Amino acid sequence: MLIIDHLTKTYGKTRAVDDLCLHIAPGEICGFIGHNGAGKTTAIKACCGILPFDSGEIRINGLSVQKDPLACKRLLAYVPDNPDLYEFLTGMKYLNFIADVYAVDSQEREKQIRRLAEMFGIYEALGQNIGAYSHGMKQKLALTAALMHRPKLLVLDEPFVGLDPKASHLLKQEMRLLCEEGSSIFFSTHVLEVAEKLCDTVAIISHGKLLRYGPTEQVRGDESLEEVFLTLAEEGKADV
Amino acid sequence: MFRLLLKIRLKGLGSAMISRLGRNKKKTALAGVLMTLLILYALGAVGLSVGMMFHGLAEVAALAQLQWFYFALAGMMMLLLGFVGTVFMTQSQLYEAKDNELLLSMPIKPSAVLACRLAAIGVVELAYTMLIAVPVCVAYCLVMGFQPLTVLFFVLGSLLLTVLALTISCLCGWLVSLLTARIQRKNLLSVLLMLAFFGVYLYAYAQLPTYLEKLMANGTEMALAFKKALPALYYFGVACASGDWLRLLAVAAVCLVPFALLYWLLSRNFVRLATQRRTAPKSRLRGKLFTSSGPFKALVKKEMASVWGMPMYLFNCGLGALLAPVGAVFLAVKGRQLLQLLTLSVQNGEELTLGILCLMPAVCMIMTLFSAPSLSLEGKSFGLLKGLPVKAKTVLNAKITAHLLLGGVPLAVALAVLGVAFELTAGQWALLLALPFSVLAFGAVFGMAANLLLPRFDWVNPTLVVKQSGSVMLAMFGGMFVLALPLMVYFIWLIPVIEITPFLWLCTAFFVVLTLALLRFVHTRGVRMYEKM
Repeated sequence: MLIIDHLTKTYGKTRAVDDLCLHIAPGEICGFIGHNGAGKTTAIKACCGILPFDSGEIRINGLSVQKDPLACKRLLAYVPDNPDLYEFLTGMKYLNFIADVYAVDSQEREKQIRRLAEMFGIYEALGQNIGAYSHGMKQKLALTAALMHRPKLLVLDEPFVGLDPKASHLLKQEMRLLCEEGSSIFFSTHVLEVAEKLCDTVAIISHGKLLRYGPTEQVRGDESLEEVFLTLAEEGKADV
Repeated sequence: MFRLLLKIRLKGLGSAMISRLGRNKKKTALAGVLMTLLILYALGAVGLSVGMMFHGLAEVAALAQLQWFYFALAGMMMLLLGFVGTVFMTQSQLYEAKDNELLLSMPIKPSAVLACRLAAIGVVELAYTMLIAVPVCVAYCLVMGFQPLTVLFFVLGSLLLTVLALTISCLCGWLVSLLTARIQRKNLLSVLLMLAFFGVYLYAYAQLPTYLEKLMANGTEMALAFKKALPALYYFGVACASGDWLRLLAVAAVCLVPFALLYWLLSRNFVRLATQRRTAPKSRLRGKLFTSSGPFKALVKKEMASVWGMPMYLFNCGLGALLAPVGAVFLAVKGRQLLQLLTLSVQNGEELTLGILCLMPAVCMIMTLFSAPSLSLEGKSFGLLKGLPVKAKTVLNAKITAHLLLGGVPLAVALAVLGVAFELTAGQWALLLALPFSVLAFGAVFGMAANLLLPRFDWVNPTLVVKQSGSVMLAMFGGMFVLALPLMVYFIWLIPVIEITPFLWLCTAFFVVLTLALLRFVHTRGVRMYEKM
């Protein structure tokens, strides 16, 4: 579903992402792990066609992000690390806006908005302006908007930040459900326990370079993912 | 600490004007030069208009030996402009500033936070004062000759009035903040209040010559009435005209004592004011909830919602659109006789009247600036917009369309009023529609191009983008220049060569061509610039 081949992105002289290669199959959840400033958000934004990159290739369902960005964007949904949504819109207007852009028909949007917003407990608040929402509510709204059009690829940047334990649990359930429908999920996280339990594959990145990538069981071996990550992070530091 | 905080605030105000264009120092320097030129041009234009009006007043005041009234009127304009310019700024920069809680969590005295915020607003207030004070002083010296003591008293008095304007702004801003915090339709109330304050200012400005006429006819009575109603301004006027230190001390007392009281009151309540939860009653879901439309229409609706959702945006960028119907009604009611007289008394009177009817709404449309900050206002949600499956061209077109709709509806109302009131012929109707609408289209596309050239996404407060960003200034003053240019050419060189009506049709063609050229720029280079952002 998502193929990242030798992706490189530089900011001036700094290589934010350096020769990154990832292949995410349909129905797969891939966790993207790395320290702050490792290049996770840059790679994610490049995958979503938000950020142009220097070299390499990104393909979504066989389509090139560089050559056919619109077709790729129609297949995916992206939730940024900070839910900076349009604060002047009400929650309902925001969801309708997203549904219009992704051409979700009236019946489907009503069904999905009701289901997801009620599940996250924000349905009653949809009449209020987003500016009045708490961080967690904004995050739930952003997730509702992303899940509403049942994307083939869901890209999430730190999706569990700001969510209460119940909402985190529900999101994990929903992520699994989406994968059962054949979609793929690529998400970055600092919560290694979540990555360990939820992800089929994990990719560990440091200073833009991929350090370890593969099935979760294989990456962690006999250790916990936390131990693997810390060891790799130390080695990464020594390399630098 | 105070200096550090003030420096940060002033840096914030200043940096809102000039965008950082990546790491390209050349482009940043170019933007700096462009902004400096624009500011100089704007200051020159405003200064000239105020100066010309006060030059006339100075001559009359000198004849009638009423210099004190000249300074009192100048003081009133300074107070009003300062107040209108900063009253809503106090709301966003003082009472509801987004970084209040951050600063209060730091080891800084709340009074220092308050003082630096007041000082930053004071600097803006002073800029507004200077906008009136400098041309007033120059006009006076041109008529009366340079009088050092008068100038010194005027400068000192103006500084004191700045403090008084700051006090009134802070008090009213406090009230506005309290009022808007507890109602659901706070945006509507804010816009109505802004319009009311601005209306008072415009009314006072328009009445300046009338005041002087009344004073000349009824000198003593009017002076007594003025003294009773506005003692601070009366003493300010007399102090400047006579060089009386005691009167200046009285002005100082009237200006500084309320400020000291306000500072004392605010410093005692600042933590409570800055941290109070502003909870309006919760809105319930109502109406048709699940409405669907195409992506382009959705984007246009989103743009329009952003205008209605931000009173500062609506007021500052939509002032022209709001004034167009008001101006049309004013012309239809008050100006009709005058224009009919013009039609009869001047050789080309009818054509001149048509010119005035076309130009009034055209000027209003140049002051309509919705598209100019629309890209910058995406701010941190720009990534969200770029992640959507819509073409850059569609996004930019949606912004331009929203501008056209928001400006077009009041323009259509204004033109209908003018056309009906002045009983125009079909040909005159055609021109009346063509010129203002072509100017509206030019303004929409020019604003978009300006924002593509001077974007700014790293703002904390959208007010700064709407009021002071480079793209807004470029669109406003650049647009005014483009509108004024053909008129200047006409009045200097072309009057003997071409009649007014064909010239106005040429102007329409000029704006259509310019709009198409700019639209091509937006659709080609603009799209590439957008994609690289």
